[in-house]
Amino acid sequence: MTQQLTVLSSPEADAGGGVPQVISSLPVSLHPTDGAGSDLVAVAGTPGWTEKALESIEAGARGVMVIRPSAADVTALRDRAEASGVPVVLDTEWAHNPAVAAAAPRFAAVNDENSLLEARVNAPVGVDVDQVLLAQLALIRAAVDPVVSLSHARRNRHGYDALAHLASGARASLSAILSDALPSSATLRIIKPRDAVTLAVPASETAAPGRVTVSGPDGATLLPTQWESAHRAAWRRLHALAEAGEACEDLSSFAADVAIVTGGRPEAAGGRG
Amino acid sequence: METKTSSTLGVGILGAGPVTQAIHLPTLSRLRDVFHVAKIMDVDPAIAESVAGRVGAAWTTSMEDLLADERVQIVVVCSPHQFHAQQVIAACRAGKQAVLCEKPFAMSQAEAEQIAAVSQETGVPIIVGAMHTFDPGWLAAKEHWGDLVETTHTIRYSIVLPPNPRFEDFATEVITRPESPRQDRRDPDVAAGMVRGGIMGLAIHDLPLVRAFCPDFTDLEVLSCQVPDPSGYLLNLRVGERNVQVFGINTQSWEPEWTFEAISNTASLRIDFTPSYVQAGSATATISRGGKSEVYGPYLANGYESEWRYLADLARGKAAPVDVTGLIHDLTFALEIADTASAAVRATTSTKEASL
Ligand SMILES: NC(=O)c1ccc[n+]([C@@H]2O[C@H](COP(=O)([O-])OP(=O)(O)OC[C@H]3O[C@@H](n4cnc5c(N)ncnc54)[C@H](O)[C@@H]3O)[C@@H](O)[C@H]2O)c1
Repeated sequence: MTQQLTVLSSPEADAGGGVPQVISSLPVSLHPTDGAGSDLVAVAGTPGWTEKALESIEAGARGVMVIRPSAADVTALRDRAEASGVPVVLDTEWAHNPAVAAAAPRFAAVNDENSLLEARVNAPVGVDVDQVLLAQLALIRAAVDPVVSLSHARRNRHGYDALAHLASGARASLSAILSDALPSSATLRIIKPRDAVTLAVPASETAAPGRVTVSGPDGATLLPTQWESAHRAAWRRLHALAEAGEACEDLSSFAADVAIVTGGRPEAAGGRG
Repeated sequence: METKTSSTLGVGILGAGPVTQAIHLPTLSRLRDVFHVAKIMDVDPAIAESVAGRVGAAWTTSMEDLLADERVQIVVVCSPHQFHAQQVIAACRAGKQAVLCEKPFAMSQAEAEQIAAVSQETGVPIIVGAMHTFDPGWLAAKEHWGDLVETTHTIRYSIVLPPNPRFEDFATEVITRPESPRQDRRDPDVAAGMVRGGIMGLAIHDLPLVRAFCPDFTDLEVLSCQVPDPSGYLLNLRVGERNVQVFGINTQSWEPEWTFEAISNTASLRIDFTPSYVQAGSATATISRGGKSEVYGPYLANGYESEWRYLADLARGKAAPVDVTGLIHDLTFALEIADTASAAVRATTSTKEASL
């Protein structure tokens, strides 16, 4: 039987991660609490989040959810989480959308050194561009492959265009477009000489489905759509990990992506395009 | 010139390849109250004769012969790229009523300037077959996009192109088709050629649309250029203050895409065009701002039909001619992108793909 775990959140985490809405949609698995000794803790990913997460683990949390983490040094937190076997799940904007996991085997079939991945994000004006890039890297990692190198062709207050390589050797083109005219969303696409895979993911708070389309010379297939928000899917994952007492790789992956983001900044890359 | 007996305008076509067969003849068949095909010229007599036979037109293998024929009032230049400029100039000098030149207008700045001078001198109006600039979806967007030209910061122009025959074969029964050999994009010369060919042959269609959103179009920087597998181009450009991405890829995968987007902080325009060759109606334009979207189209007529209707109005003096300076600027813009991008890709390909 599913074990019910208590959740301690904060107004900031609630605002960014829709925590009350998620808990109300997982009433058997999760239950809100205000007090100390909660099983799971939601931490807003604003600067200083790693210390808060560390404190939660020290206070005995069995799992931590970080909502929209900003760039940070996670070394101490990762070491502590690993040592105590506590899962720290990073609820980035798109990676947990159920369509991402559905797309992964399809992308795997078209991901090789000749491939070109196109990744685009639409985000609101004024967002933290590093955070957008981190969320995009997390999405690419979850759906396709980790990005192993990146350089910006352009980065300014309207977004960025970057060129990258994936672990497979495939090339990638990453873009972010900042506008309030378009709903927040992310797309990934690999078009091969014969086949193509496309993933479109909406914002994390909506249960509008992501869409995976697999096409070839004979036509296209839209995979079954799943009406679950990325936030809810992230909490299901944290619940399962905590129940099993398993840590996870999110922080290690995040550390690698943070290194890519800081290394790929135009000033760090010497402006190479 | 003598007065014509026919009540419809006589069209003369230079070059009777797939574009004439699949695009212009089917479009003209929709406009029989306005045009008839008077004569068709192709260097290949078998093609000229066969294609002319379909529409009951005369045929020839000589451009001079076609241009001297007084039944020809409007000339369409549909030959391979390298002949466009000289044929447009010859048609102007022959004193025709209007000239439609398939894109690209010319292959060099010098050719473009010669065309401009001849057009000025002879007063013969010229249009370029950039059909999307005539597409009713684009024209409707233009009427409603407000200050988007001034406020746009990002432009995206993407074409996913399945093999042309998939469309040509629904538009006509093409009689001959040139073979295109598979090439290795890792060879620097091949990569540079693909990019130049891709820009002057494919991207050129909507570079006039891109330029419409780039007031500072001469301030151009190619930030990156890559060639996707098996062929195409992926360019990041800075054009004045605009962030521009131009993408095109050839694929056997079925799903075609042809989109143009212009995005500001508060508004966005997205245009979805119908594929080339087929008479599948206009583009659909969506303008979004403040949580609302307005959709224009699709309309029944596509850009090909609109370009021909405009040509008829031009020939009859009912429409103002296209500003040739604008056409030259479109070409200059395309050439500059093609030259810079192909040089960039040649340089990066020769240093091997390992670096970006
Ligand atoms: N508007 C569009 O949608 C569109 C689409 C594709 C191509 N095009 C343009 O249309 C033009 C023709 O394209 P195509 O695919 O039919 O080309 P093509 O090269 O396949 O055929 C051109 C024809 O011209 C003939 N020809 C060769 N030299 C000639 C000359 N000196 N004078 C007259 N004819 C000559 C050839 O025998 C052939 O039959 C090209 O410039 C191309 O860029 C436009």
